[in-house]
Amino acid sequence: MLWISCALISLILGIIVIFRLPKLYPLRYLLPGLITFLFFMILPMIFTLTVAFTNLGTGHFLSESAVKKLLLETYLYNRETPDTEFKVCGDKFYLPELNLLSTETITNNEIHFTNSTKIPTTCLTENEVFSNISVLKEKKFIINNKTYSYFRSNALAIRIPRYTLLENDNLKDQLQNKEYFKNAETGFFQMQGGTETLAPGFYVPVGFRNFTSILFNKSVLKSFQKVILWTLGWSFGSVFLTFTTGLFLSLLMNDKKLAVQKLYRVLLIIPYSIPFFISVLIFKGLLNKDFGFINHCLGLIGMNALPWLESASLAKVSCLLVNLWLGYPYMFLVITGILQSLPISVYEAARLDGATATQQFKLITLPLIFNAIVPLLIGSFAFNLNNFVGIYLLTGGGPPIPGATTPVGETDILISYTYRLAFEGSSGQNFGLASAVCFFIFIFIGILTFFNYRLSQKNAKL
Amino acid sequence: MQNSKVFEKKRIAAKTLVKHLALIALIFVILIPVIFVISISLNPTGSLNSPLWPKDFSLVHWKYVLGIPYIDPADGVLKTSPFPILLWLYNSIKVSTITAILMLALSTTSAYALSRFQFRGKQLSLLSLMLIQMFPNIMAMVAFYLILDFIGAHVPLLANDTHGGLILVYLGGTPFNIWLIKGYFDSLPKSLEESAIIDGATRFQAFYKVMLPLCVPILAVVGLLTFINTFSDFITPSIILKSQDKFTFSVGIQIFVSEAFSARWGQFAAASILGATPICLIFFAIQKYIVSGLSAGSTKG
Repeated sequence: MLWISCALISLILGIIVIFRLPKLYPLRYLLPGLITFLFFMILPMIFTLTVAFTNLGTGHFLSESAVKKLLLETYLYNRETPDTEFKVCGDKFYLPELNLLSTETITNNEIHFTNSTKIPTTCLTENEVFSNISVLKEKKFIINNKTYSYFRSNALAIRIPRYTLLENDNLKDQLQNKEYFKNAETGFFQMQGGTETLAPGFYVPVGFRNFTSILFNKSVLKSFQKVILWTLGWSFGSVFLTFTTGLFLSLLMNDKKLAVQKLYRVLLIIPYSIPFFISVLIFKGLLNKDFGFINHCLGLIGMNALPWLESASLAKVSCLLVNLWLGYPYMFLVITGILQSLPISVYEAARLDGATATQQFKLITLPLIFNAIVPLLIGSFAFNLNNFVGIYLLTGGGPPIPGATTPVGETDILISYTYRLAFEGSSGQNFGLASAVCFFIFIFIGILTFFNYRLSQKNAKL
Repeated sequence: MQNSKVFEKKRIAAKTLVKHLALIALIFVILIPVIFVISISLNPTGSLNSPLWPKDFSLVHWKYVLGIPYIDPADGVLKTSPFPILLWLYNSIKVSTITAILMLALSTTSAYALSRFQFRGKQLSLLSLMLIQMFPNIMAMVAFYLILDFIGAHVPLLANDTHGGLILVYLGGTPFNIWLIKGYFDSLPKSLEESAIIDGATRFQAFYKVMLPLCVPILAVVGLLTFINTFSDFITPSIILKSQDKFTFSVGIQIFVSEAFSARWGQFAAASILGATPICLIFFAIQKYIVSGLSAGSTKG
């Protein structure tokens, strides 16, 4: 609570300062956008950076103190003294076996009992008792000078904590009489002089281990290299295919004499107007190996069904083709716009100088289009590097790469690989490694974006 | 001479005809998925390998999607869809609309400041805005979850599994919109506000009463783009929303894909058309501006 009040007060103070100092005038305008930006862009970014240096993930989700608390609250129930049945009747507890009823005064969560004169009739069912479990667990029932605790929804029992905290901060297991020390390297309580560990583990800083395992761990590195190569191939391929198709179509349509040109144009950009997540799922159905429409058509012309999403190379082709379908209208629209803005006078001058149509196209149209479109191509490249939906919804990254130690498939790009590391792994979630991969992606895209920014700054000045 | 001219004319006509035929064929191939989905949604069998032109038509999948009782062709029993698909669509539209409106309020003022004021570190903040928005936000999902958990403990309206929390998370994505709006502000002459200020308006009045009305076109485009992007996102809501009646359309529709895809194909088709229609309409309404906006956003410094 102290934490929040401090944050709130400093926020209010900050706002007052910003609105009093004329020098900070621009901040008054920037502030609203800045606050959400800080919370939901910067904070997650810092979080990712921090996590990249820990082993946060399956088996290591909790902090050390939380794990310690959890272990210290594990109990052993004494099997020598029998359980005592109990009931919750009204605001009292009733023990039918001993015919005891709890007294009114409840101090320190301790409940005392006296002999009951009559048997209470209206009592809660076991399910109703179970829904109050958290309150019940804290209570101590003093019966015949012995402390009983909640055991299950109809019984109390005497219990002792399974682990005790020793002076040297180690945990002692009462059941097996073993001592466990805190291993800050692996994030486990580990047996003294042994390899046995207690579950769950806790998260610990691991330094650069996540980064180095990507770069130097042979099995991780091998799949990582594959993913990077395909990410690049996928982005280049997508940009190249969409650009050439868009260019071809816009040149074909750039004929003012062509009838119903507008109708064609609208029909051609329909794929772009459908939300990506819907069209990709539609393609997933069309490309289905056993029932898909495309294999159905292949069957009609006497060809065998192809494993569009199941074989490594065909799955890659499918991804690229689907992305071509999704992405060419953008290029088509942009290039059409550029073509329409090209100055006619340049062509007239070229014609006067005796240039042929092919020469005009090669020496004027193409360079002018290219000049205007390079930043967009880089932007499209960067977009496809991170195009999660295009891959994940179609193939889910699959088919799996045989023999990989991390969950990775043939069509996984960096971003879908990260997603699967973080949320899907069959061997568990690995937030630490996923965060480290995030940073590789960021560096990659950051350089591209910076380059693009400089390029467009230069263009703007021209 | 005359003959060759006629010949030339015929040649051109033939060429145009070929061009038309080629274009029509190409467009048909491109639109097969769309045609197919429409046909499947009207085909009572509606399996993945149905022909492009169904043998008979029925509205059974549409009734399913719209929550109207229908007679299951498999066993002839009157049923109603167990999934609140219309509710999901409503949720999506609600979340996207609120996000778009709040997003505009947040990013317009920031864009104005970045366009009009000179202050130290302006170039740097512009560049870092651009870089930071490129940060892959997959891992941020975990952070979002933790942040909403924290906020939700104090403000239940903004907890996990609420639309409020989801909208709050979306509001972090201001940079791209700031860029688009800033580009538009840059193109407006400064003299407009300067004269307003000379006439006695405060700076804020000049912004609010002079500049803002001039920006309505770009604000409409940015608002609708935000709407489309929010509507289409499925990662964030699939992490944040847990209960089925709070799902957005993009999360809900995954149900059709995850279990017995082939059997649900017809229902999926009808649901897809239902979900895609509002976005298609918006898209074609602002199509002209989207392209100029998108290219301006990435070419203007």
